[in-house]
Amino acid sequence: MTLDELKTGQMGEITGYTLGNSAYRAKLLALGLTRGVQVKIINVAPLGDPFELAVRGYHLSLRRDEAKVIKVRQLTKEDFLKR
Amino acid sequence: MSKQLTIGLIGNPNCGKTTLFNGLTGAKQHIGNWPGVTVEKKEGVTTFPGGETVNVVDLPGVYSLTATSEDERATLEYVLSHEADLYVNVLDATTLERNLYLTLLMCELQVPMVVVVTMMDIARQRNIDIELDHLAEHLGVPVVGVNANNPLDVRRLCATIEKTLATAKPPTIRLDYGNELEQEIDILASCTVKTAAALKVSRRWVALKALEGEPLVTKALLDYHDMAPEVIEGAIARVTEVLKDPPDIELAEARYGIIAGLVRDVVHIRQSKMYFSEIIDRFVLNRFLGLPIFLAIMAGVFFLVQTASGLPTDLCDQFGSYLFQDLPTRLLGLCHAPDWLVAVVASGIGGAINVLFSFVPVIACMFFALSILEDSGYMARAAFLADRFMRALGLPGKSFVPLLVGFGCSVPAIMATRTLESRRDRMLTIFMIPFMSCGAKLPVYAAFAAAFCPAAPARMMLLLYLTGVVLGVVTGLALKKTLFRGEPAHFIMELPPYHMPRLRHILFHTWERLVGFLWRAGRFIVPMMLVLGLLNSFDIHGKVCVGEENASQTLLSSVGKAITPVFEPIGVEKENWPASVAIFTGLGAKESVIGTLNGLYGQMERVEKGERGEKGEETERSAIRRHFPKGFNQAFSYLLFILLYVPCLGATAVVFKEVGKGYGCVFVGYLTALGWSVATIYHSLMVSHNSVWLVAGAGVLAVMFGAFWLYGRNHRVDLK
Repeated sequence: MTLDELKTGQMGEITGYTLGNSAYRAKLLALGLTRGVQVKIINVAPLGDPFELAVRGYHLSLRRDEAKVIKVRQLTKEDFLKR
Repeated sequence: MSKQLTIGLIGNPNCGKTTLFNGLTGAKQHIGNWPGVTVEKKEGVTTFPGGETVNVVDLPGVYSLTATSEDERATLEYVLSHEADLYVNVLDATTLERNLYLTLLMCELQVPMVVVVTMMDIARQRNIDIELDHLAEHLGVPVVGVNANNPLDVRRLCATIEKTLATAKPPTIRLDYGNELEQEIDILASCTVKTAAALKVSRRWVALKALEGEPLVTKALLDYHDMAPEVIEGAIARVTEVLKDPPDIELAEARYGIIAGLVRDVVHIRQSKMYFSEIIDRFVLNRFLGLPIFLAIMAGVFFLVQTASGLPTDLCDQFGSYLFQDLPTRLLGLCHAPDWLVAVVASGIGGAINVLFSFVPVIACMFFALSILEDSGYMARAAFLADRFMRALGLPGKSFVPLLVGFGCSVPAIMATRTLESRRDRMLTIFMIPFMSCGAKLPVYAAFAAAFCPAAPARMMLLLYLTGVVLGVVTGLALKKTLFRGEPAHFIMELPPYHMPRLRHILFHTWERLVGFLWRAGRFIVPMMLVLGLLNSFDIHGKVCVGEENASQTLLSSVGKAITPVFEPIGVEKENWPASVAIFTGLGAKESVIGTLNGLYGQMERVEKGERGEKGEETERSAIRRHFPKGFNQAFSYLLFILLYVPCLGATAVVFKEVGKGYGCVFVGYLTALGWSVATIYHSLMVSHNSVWLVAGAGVLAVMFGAFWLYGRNHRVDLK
C-alpha cells in the first residue's frame, strides 16, 4: 500500500519508493522518509487533503496524490516503536 | 590579519538560525539578494572576545545540499564558492535526528565547522537530554549548546568559533556506505579530477553528488568534460541492480542509519508526553472547527489591512504633506526663493517622499501581523488548511495570505510572496495580487458608486471587487498555461510546534521589511514621482503653475488631453480629458484619481460658468455624472480600467524588485493591455455598440496571450 492510503491515527513503516520525480524524492529522503522509518498519520485537513504525519520526532504535511510514490506497510500499535 | 574572516550559518528552516544570527550580529546587518535568485542574503558583522571582527553570512534554511529549489541552490552555490572560512551548523535540539542529516552532508565536504545545538531549554522541557560532548566526539567537531536569546551562550559560542578558526581542522567523522556503494564511489571518483579541482572539493564528494543525481554537480561534471552522462547513468543502474534501489535512496538510508546510531548514543528521552502543540492542533486543524477558526483569523487579517490601508490617507498623508510639502514651501517663501524652486522642492521632491512614507503604516502593520502568524507557527497551519482550495487555482496554500493582504495594499502583499519556495508560484501570485482591489481604490469606487448607483452603492462596489477576483483567477489559470509553464511545485511542508510569538523578533522583522522597502523601492519611486510631480507643476512653456486655478494648464493636463483618444474606446470622451489625467495621477496613488477629477472638473465648471456669468458650485456627484453622460455602464467601463491597469508606483517598484526588469515590464504591459481590452470590450458591448473596437479589444487579448503561449513554450520558469 502507499502512504496516502493510511487513515488518521494509523501507523506504518516506509518500505520504499515507486519510481518517479527524483527532485520530490530527494527532498523526502533528506527529511528522513527512508526505508524502515515509522510514520503515524496525525491529521487530515478539513477538505480531505493534505495530511499531516509524524516522522522522526517532527510533523510534516504532504498532498495525497503526491505521497502515492511512498510505499508503506501498515503497523499495529504493538509493532509501532517496538523495533 | 590580512583578510577579514567569514563564517557561514547553515541549518534547517526554523532551526533558530536567524535568531542566532541576530544574536551574533545585533543591528549590524545588511540584506541583499543571492546572485541569480530572489532569495534574501543576510550579512552581518560580529566581534569576537579577542577583539577581532568577522563577517557572518546567514544562509537560507535547507534540509540538504541538493539543489532542487532556489533556497537550496543559493546555499549549495555559496558553499561551493568557498567564501566562508568556517561554517556554524545550527541544529534544533528538539528535532536533532533530522537536523543531523545536513550535519553529515557538511562533514562530507571536509570544511572546518562548529555545531550549535539551539533550543536546549525547549528540549529539556520535553524531557530530551543531549550529551553534547559525546556528540562532539562522534562527529569530530566542537559542539556548543545554546539558547540563542542568552547573550552568555552567544559569547561562549564565539569563543569556540575563534578557537576552531585558529586550528581550521575539518571534521574527522568518516562515513562508510558499504562495499557495493563504496566501489561505485571509487570508480566515479577516479574520473572527477577536473570538476573536483574546479569546485575545490574532494573527488569522493563529487562522485557522491553524481550518484545522488544532484543537478548542479552533475552539470559541472558534464561542463568540465570529466565524464559522459552515460557513465553516471551506468553507475546508477549498477547500484540499482545490485541493491534493488537507486543510489540516492541507498545513500540517504545509510546516512540516517549512522544518525540513528548517533542518536541512540547521545540522546536520551525520558517518557515522552503529549505536547502543547498537539493539543492546539486538535482544535485548529479539527475537521469542523478548523475552517471556521481559519476564516476568523483571516477575517482579522483582512480587517487589519483594511484599517491599515486607510491610515495613510487619513492620518499620515495630512501630516506628511505638511512636513514634506507645506513646510518647505513656507520656508522657501520666507527666503524669497523663486517659484520654480518651490515647485521642484515641494511638489517634486516633497511629494515623492510623501508618497514613499505613506506606505509606512500599512507595511508596518502588515508585517507585524504576518510575523505574529509566522512566529507562532499558525502560518504553516493556514497553508495546510488552504492548500486544497488554492490548488484549484493552481497555487499552493501558502499563496492565500499574500492574496488576502492584497485587498489592503499590494506592496506588503507582493513582499509577502517571499515565503513561497517555488519561483513559479511566486510569479503567479505576484501577477494575481493587483486584481485584489486595494484599499486605495476604494474611495474611487465609492465616489462613482455614489454618483451612479446612489440607491445601492455597495452593490456596484461589490461588483467591481468580484470582477477583480474573477479576472485574477482567470489570469492565474491563463498564465499558468502560457507564460509560466513548468512543473508544479511539490508540497512538502513542516508543521513546526507552536510557540509564543517573540515581540523582539517580530519588531526586528517588521523593521527589517520597512527599511528594505524604503531603501530599495524608494530608489525607483522617488525619481518616478519626481517626474510626475514636475509634470504636474509646470506648463508647456516651462512656467510654474501650481494650485487649482492653473490645474488645466499643466504639462500633465496637456499630456492627458493629447492621450485621451486612446481612452475613447473605454468611454472617456474628448471633453472628459480630466479622466485620462486622473489615470496618470493614479499612478502615484490610486486615491488621487478622485482628487484629480474633483479638482479639474471643478475648475472647468468655474471657467464655463464664468463665461456665462453664472454662480454656484456643482457637487462632486453631479460633476462626475455630467462627464460620464451615458451613465452607469460608461462609468463602469472606466472603473474597470482603473481596477486593472498598472498598480501604483509603490507596488510596481516592489514588483520590479521581486521579479526582475524583464518580467516587471511584462507585468506593467499585461495589466495595462488587459485593462484597456476588458474596458473596451465592455464599453463596446454595453454602450457604444461599436464592433470595430470590440474586435480590437479581443484582438489585443488574443495577441497578448498568443505571445505568452509562444514564449512559455520555449522558456520554462524553474530554477534556472
